[in-house]
Amino acid sequence: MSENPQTRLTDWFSSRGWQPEAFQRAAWAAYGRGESGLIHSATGSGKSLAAWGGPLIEALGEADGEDRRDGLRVLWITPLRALAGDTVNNLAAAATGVGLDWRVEKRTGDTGSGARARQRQRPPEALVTTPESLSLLLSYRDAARQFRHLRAVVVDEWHELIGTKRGVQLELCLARLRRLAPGLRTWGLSATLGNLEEARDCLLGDDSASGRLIQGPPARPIDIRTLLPAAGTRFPWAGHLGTQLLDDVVDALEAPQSCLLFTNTRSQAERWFESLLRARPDWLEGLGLHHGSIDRSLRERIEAGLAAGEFRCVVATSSLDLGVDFSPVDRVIQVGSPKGVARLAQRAGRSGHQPGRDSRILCVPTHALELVEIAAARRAWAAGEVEARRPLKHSLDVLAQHLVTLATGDGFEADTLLDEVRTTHAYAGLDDDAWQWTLEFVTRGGPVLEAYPDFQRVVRGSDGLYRIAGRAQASRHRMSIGTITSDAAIAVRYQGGGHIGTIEESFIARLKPGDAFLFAGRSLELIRVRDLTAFVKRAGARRQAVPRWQGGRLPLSTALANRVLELFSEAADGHFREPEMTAIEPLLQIQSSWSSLPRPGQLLIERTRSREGQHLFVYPFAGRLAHEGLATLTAWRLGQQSPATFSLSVNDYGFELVGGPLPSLDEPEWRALFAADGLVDDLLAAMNASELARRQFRDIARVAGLIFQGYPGRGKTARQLQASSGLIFDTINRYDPDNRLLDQARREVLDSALEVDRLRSALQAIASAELVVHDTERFTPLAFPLWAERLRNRLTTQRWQDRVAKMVAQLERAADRT
Amino acid sequence: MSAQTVQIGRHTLQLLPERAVYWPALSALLLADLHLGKAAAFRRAGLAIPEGDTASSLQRLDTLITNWRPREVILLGDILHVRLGSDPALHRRILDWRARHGDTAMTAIIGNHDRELRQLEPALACYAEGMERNGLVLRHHPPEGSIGKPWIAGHWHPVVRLDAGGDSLRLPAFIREPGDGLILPAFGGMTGGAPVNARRGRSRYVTSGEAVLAVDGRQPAD
Repeated sequence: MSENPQTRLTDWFSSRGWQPEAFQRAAWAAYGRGESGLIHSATGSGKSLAAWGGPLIEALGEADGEDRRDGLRVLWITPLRALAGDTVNNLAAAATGVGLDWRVEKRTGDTGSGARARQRQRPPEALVTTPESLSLLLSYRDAARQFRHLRAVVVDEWHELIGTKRGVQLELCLARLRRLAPGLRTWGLSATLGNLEEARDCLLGDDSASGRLIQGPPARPIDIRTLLPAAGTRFPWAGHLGTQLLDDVVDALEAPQSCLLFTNTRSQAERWFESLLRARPDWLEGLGLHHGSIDRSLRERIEAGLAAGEFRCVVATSSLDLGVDFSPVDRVIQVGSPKGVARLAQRAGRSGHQPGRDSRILCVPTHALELVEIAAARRAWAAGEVEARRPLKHSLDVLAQHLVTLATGDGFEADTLLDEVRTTHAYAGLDDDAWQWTLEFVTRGGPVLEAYPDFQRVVRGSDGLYRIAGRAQASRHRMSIGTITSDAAIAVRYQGGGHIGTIEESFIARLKPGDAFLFAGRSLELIRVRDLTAFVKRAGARRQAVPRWQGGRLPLSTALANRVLELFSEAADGHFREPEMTAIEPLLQIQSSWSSLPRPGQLLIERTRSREGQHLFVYPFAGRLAHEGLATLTAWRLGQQSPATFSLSVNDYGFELVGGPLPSLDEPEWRALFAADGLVDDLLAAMNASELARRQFRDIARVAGLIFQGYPGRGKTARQLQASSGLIFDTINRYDPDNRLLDQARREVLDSALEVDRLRSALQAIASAELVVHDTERFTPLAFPLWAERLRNRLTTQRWQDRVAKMVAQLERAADRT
Repeated sequence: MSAQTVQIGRHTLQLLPERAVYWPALSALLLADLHLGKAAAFRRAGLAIPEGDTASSLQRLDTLITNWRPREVILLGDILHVRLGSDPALHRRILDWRARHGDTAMTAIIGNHDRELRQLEPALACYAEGMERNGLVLRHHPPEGSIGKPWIAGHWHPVVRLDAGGDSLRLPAFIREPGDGLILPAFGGMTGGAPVNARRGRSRYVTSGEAVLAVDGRQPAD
């Protein structure tokens, strides 16, 4: 073929009325030179074609019978299987457009067994898949053969995977692919992140030395506006539903435009969908609900409807944050504080893709203080303060799962695999002991189980290769590969058989048959739960519970928290610059007069009495996760002076302790309470008394294969192996205290659940801060949300027996009064 | 105040903090839901759970037998978590343990997990659910509604969640049901629990391991 291959691609661009952008050309050229890298660019700017062009040009260049081998050439990883269909269409259109006779197929959890077998027999040139499905592909015996001709792997939406265990799983799989297909090029696509270089290095592993970072066109400006409560109305001091502004949102939706209404949690999405429907039943056809627990086919219908412009408004959670080529909508509404600048930008980017137009987002505060957060987000965005996502390190649970995966596939040799694992960013510094422990864990169950030959998972054959012990173990392992993301999921279906979606077991466990709950925009009544399925029927209009899904409640980012503090400080000086700040001025005046407004360089502390006892409120502005750690630490240190039990409550601004008698403290005593020395030791000691590590273990137990979730239809066997992760944690804690997974649980609590780094810097800031202590008559505007939060942990330094006796005594007194 | 007594039928029963019941009239210890061999069943399925619970359950039972010197031990079902055939080590262990208590009669009610319990006969005298002893019906499954006779059962693994003074605890519990019945907490270690809420006519007694405490105020006279 005489024609220059790149001309074929640019011709196809022209035929669609497009022009290749400079960053796209740069990516194609880098690919052509055999390089790997990360392409960073805003949503809807043509990232996919930047990564896809290289492999197309390469194939065109060799099209004339020259070295054209059959087999899989490009692997395209997408974090959401809902996106796979769209991606296949887009990639296939471009391949056909340049005249390549390529098959582009998808392989996800939904791919039927027929299609899978066909793909194995006659692999397509390009396969679109998820990290879990890639892991699953590596768990089959012919993995080495399948991937030996692979030229490129493209990881879409890498920013969504980095910092998660799915990301770590993918790092391991990429290391394996590089081993199977030498010369493999890795390309990632990412939205804006505060740590793009680290993100690139993490994706490329030990290839990162030659890695490129390619910048797309600058993001469009974002116009951030707020739906302000009417002057003089009472706007709540706390809460998270925000339906007070429902009428105004309905007004905003009157215009015949498509709109995405984002909420931060699934429960909030359910509530908003229901409220909108109740306010405007005539919009029934034009309203949609989209979140991660809703059945995929329903979601796909919504996505298709959105693309076709059939919806007036779709209420969504982060399930619609993703999707490069997702059809843009006219408007975006954000309910509640976005909590982070990156998230706000991503959501705003869903609106108005017309060239030259700004992205617009309308923020709906759910309570008064969120007004400040929205103003803070605008400032942070203007200053370019986008959050970083830190990659995880040394997750032994994911490593254990990967070892079993490879043992289930072609098997592995220990030393070469260790070298391979160490090429990843996540395990680059893995020490020999940790490796040895993990290897023993999957073979013998760990050193403690050595005496028990009944454990069978991975065995070392006479050829020195580690392989799975048997078919049953293999099939059980494959079943569990997809479980990194999901909590124990219960299917929700109608008595008559219709599948509605999946819901977390922990929520269903709290319901009794006959209870009503809101799910997938419907009011449902629980009939019974059997074999991991909740059978339901439609319920009448009664008081309903809304599922509280885990996650979704991200901590306020450091950038935003600092901006919030800056705004408070300006308010204290009498400056109210933004409309949001003017709207909240009366409330901030109350805060000022009852106590004071927090400022940078100060630590505000409030003490109040109520019928519940004494309340201590502390406002370090370090985000809810770090506050959870700070609250635990403070309660524990107070409890060291005299045994006590505290209830803890946290939000993004501070924390509250209630309970035992609070000693009156002088300045040095306050300082000692918040000293950074001995932080980790004290925190670990405190955590032993609390439930944090036990809770964290839930994930680890699932990933490392310590719990078997079972699956519908295998009721009995599965039931006999059901035990809660808490029970397993207790058992291991008692009989195998050196188990490294316990250690990992503690570490994860420190790093991710408590953000110990942020906690440490908060304590360092406190050390040099001026302490401002107020005794207040009642809960101040800052204290009230904490009091109302009631998402409480407990920490006790009292003896178990004393606690029981004290509680029973209280209950008896209460009973005598009745 | 370490033990509580309840009246079931015409019998006075002592609720022991060790999650068992002592029946003075018969000099019998009653307990339910040992689930022996559970950890091993997990391991055979490739779940790396350490051993310890089976040993500790039997040891706690040893201590109870030493302290109370009962003439008889009555096990109210779910003694085994698995089929004995799949765990010969467990089979041997139970027989050895049984032999060490030669003077004590051992009676078992067959529960839903005890598929092959009869293999342990004659070491254990096995009975189907509903066997009667001195006017008390011994069961594994609590009956639904009254059966016209007083009864004792297990199966629920009852726990009670206490919330007071800002504190919260989940404790194993004995449940005195209306219709003259008593449900025992699970004796085994790795057994979890199902929360049982307060209800009219029901009295719940939690055990902290050292003491048994009534949580529903005075016991109703019925």
